[in-house]
Amino acid sequence: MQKDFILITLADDDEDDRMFFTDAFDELKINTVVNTVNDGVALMNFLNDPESILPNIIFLDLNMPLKSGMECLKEIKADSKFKDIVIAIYSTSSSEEDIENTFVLGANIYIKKPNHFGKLKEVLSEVVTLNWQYITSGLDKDNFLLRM
Amino acid sequence: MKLFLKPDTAFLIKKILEEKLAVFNVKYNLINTNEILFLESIDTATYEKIAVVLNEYGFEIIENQKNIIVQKIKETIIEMIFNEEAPAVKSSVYLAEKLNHSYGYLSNLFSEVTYTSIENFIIIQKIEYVKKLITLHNLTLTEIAFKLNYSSVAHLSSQFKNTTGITPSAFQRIIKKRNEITNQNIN
Amino acid sequence: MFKSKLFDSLGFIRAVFLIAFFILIFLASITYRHIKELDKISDSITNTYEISIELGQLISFIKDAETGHRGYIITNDSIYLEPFIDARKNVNRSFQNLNNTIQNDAKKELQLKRIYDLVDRRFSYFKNHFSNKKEFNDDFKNGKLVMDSLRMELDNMLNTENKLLDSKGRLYRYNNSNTPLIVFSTFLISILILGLGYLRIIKNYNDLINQNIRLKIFDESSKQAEILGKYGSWLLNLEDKTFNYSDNQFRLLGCEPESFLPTFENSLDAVHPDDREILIEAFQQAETSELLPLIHYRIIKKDTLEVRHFRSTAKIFVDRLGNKNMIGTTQDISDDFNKTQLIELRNKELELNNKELMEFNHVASHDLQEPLRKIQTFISRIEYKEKDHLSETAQSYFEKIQEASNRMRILIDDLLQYSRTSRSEKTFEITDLNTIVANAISELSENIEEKKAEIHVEKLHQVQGVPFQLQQLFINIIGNSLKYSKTEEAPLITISSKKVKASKTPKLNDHSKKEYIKITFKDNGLGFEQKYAEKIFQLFNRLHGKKEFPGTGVGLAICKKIVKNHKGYIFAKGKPDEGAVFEIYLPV
Repeated sequence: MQKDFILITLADDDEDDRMFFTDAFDELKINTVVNTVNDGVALMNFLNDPESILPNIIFLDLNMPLKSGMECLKEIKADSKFKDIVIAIYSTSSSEEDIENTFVLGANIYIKKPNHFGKLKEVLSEVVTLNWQYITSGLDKDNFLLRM
Repeated sequence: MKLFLKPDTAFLIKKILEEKLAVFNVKYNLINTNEILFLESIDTATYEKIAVVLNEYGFEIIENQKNIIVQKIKETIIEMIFNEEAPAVKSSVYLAEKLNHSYGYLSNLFSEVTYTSIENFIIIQKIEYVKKLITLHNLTLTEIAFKLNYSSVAHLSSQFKNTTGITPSAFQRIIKKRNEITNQNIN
Repeated sequence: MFKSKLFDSLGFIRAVFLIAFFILIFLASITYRHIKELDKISDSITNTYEISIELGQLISFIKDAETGHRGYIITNDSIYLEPFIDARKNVNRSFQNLNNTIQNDAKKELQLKRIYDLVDRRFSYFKNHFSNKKEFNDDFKNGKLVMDSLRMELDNMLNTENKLLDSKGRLYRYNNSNTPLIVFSTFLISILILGLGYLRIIKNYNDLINQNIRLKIFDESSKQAEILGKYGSWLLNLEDKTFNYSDNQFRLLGCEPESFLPTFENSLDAVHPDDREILIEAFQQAETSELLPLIHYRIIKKDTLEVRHFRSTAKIFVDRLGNKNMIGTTQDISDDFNKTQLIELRNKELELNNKELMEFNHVASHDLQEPLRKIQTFISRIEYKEKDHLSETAQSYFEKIQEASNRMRILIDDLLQYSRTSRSEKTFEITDLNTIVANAISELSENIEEKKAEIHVEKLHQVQGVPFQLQQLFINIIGNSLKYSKTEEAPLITISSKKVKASKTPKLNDHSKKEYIKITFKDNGLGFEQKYAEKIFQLFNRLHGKKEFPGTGVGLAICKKIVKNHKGYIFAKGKPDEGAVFEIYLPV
C-alpha cells in the first residue's frame, strides 16, 4: 500500500487539451499511469480489448467526433464489466442540464475544463485523491458525485 | 538424470497470492511480486488474517507501522461518525487519546500516506454519511443537520457543496432520477 | 321593451273594442225588448179601442133595428124592415168581429156571451105581428128591459176595456220615459270607451310613425355602416330558398344593387369553386342547428374578378307570422386577412431571426470558450514557467493580456448564461422557493462568508417554475446585493414572499383575477437613483465603472429574462446609500 498506482485514461479529441492533461499529471506527485485516446470510438475499442488493463478512472470529453462522450458514458454504464471504473466528465460546457444529465446517466465526476494550468493540476489532484479515498476507505461508489 | 528448471518465480508468486487472497473476497491489484494494492478498505482484523495466511507460504509482510496507524485513524473516525456520538472533546484530542500519539504526529503521518488531511477526511466521511442518510433513510436536510450536529442547514448545505461541488438537493434529485432509470430498465 | 309596450297597447285596444261591442249588443237587446214591449202594449190598446168601437157599433145596430122595427110597426111599411134586417146582419158581423178581437180572453168571452144572449133576447121581441096590444106592450116593455140590461152589460164591458186601456197606457208611458235614459247612458259609456280606444290608437299610430322614422334612420345608417364596414346583410327564405340581399351585399359581390334575384344556387356561383363545399355544408348544418357557424370562404368578384375573403354567420329566425327565415351577415375580411397573413409571416420571420440570433449567441459564446480557455491556460503556463525571463515591458504587456482575457472570459460566461436562460427547455414544476433560496445561498456561501453578510429568509411560498432558472434568479439577485454592498457595513438581505391579487396591484397592469407570489429582496447596500430602476435590467447596462465593480451588466438582464419566461414581473426600487429592493411577481 505504499505506492498508489492509479490507471487513468483520457478521451479527448483536442491535442492541446491532451497535452495539458498529461503535463498536469507529470507535474503532480501522484503515481499515475495516464494514457490518452483521440475519440470515443478509440476509447471503446481500448476498453473492449481483452488485452487492455482497465483503467481506474476515465476522463471523458463530451464533444468528440464519431462517438460523443455521452454515448461512451451510456455504453460504459451498460456493461457490467466496467462497473468499477470511475467516470469523470471533462468538458468545456458548464450547462447545468449537461451536468445533471451526465450525473443521472452514471458519471461520478464532472470537471469543467479550467482555464488555468495551476487550477487544472489542483482539480486533477483532488479528483485522484478523493477517488483514492473511495477506493481505500470503503465508500459507496454509487454516491460518488463530484463537480469541479 | 537431471532436470534443469527455470522457475518463473513471478508467475508462482502471482498464482499463490491469487489463490490465497481469493478466500478473503477482496479487490486488489498485484503491482509486482512484492506489492499488493488493495482496492478497498481492509480492516485490521482482516489484515491480520491475511498476514497469517501469507506467512504460511513464507511471505513476510513488511510491517508498515505507518499504514497501520493510518488505518486505525480511519477506523476511529468512521466509527465516530457512524455512531453519531458527538465526542465531548474535539476530534483531534479524541484521536490523540484513542491512538496514543500526538495529534501533530498523526496528522503528518495521515497526510503523508493518504495525500489528505485528517480534517478533510473527516469532512469527506461526514458528507458520505449525509449521502447515506439522504439516499437510504430519506431524511430531510433539517433532520440531517440536527442529527449530525451542524449549526444550521445552510452550514450543512455549504459544506456539502464545497466537498462535492453540488448542492444536497441536486444530489437527492440525481440519485432519484438514477433510480428511476434503473427501475425502468428492470421493468 | 319596445315590443312589449306595443303588444300591451294592442291588448288594451282589443279589450276596449270588445267591451264596446258587448255594450252595444246589450244595448241593442234592451232596445229590441223595449220596442217589443211597446208594440205589445200598443197592440192591446188598439184591441181595446177596437172592442169599444165594435161595442158602440153593436149598440147603434141594435138601436137601428129598434128604430126600423118601430117604424114598421107604426107604418107597417116594409121599407122600415130593411134596416131591421140589415141590423141583424150587422149585429152578427159585429159579434164575429168582437169574437176575433177578444182573442181567447175567457172573461171577455163570458161577457160577450152574456151580451150575445141579451141581444138575442132583444131580437126575439121584434115581431112583425102582435096578436094583441098586451102582447105588444109586454114585448115593448120586455124589449126595453133587455135593452137596459144590455146597455149595462155593454157599459160594463166598455168600462173594463177603458180600465185596461188606462193601466196599459200608464205602463206604456212609464216604459216610454225609462228607455231613453238607459239607451242614452249606455251610449254615453260606449262612446267614452270608444273614445279611449281611439286615443290609444292615435297614440300607437304616432309611436308607429316615430318608430318608422327611427327605423328609416337606422336603415340608412346601417347601409352606411355596411359600406364602411365592408359587410352586407341578407335574408334567406327557407321555403323557396331565395335570398334578399342588402344593397351592399350586392356591391361586395361586385354587382349593382338588385341587379339579379339571388337564389341559393346562383349565389354559390360567386363563391370560389374550392370553397363551395364549405358553404353547402354549413347551410345544411344550419337547418338542424338553427345557427350558421362562422364560416370563412373566398368569392370571386363579378366586376373585377378579384378573389376576396368573406366571413359569414347567420341565425334562423321565425317571425310572428310563422315564416322561417335565416338572417345573416357577411363581411369582406380580405384586408384583415391579408394583414394577418403579413403579420404572421413577419412573426415567423422574427421568430426565426430571434432563434437564429439565440443560436448564434449560444454557439458563439460556447465555441469562443474553447480557444479562450486555451489562451488562458497557455498564459498560466507561461506565467508559471517563463514570466521571470521576460523583460519588464513584456511582463506588463503580459499582465494586460491576462486582464483582457479574464474580462473576455467573464463576458462570454455571462453571455452564455443569458442565452441559456432563453434556450433551456422549460419544464414547469411546482417549486418550493425555500429550497431554491437554500441552494442559492449555498451556491454563494463563499461570497457570503467573505462579506460577513446576513441573510434573513422568511418562510417562502411555492411557485410554478423551472427550478434551474429560479435558482439562477435568486443567485443573481442575492449576488447583486452582495456585490453592491457598503464596505463599512455588513450586508443584510431580507427575503420574503406574499400572495397578492393582480387586480389589487396596480403596477402589474393586470386586472384579471390572477394571483401572484410577490417575492421581495431588500438590502442595505449602495442602492441606486430611482431613475435607473428600469435601466439596470437592460443587457450590458452598468451603473458603475469597471474598475470599481467589475461586471458585464448581464446579471440583472438574466433576471429579467427568467422572470419573463415565467410570465412574471420584476421591479427595482432604490435610494442611493440606503439600499435596494427587488420585487418579483410570479404567477401562482
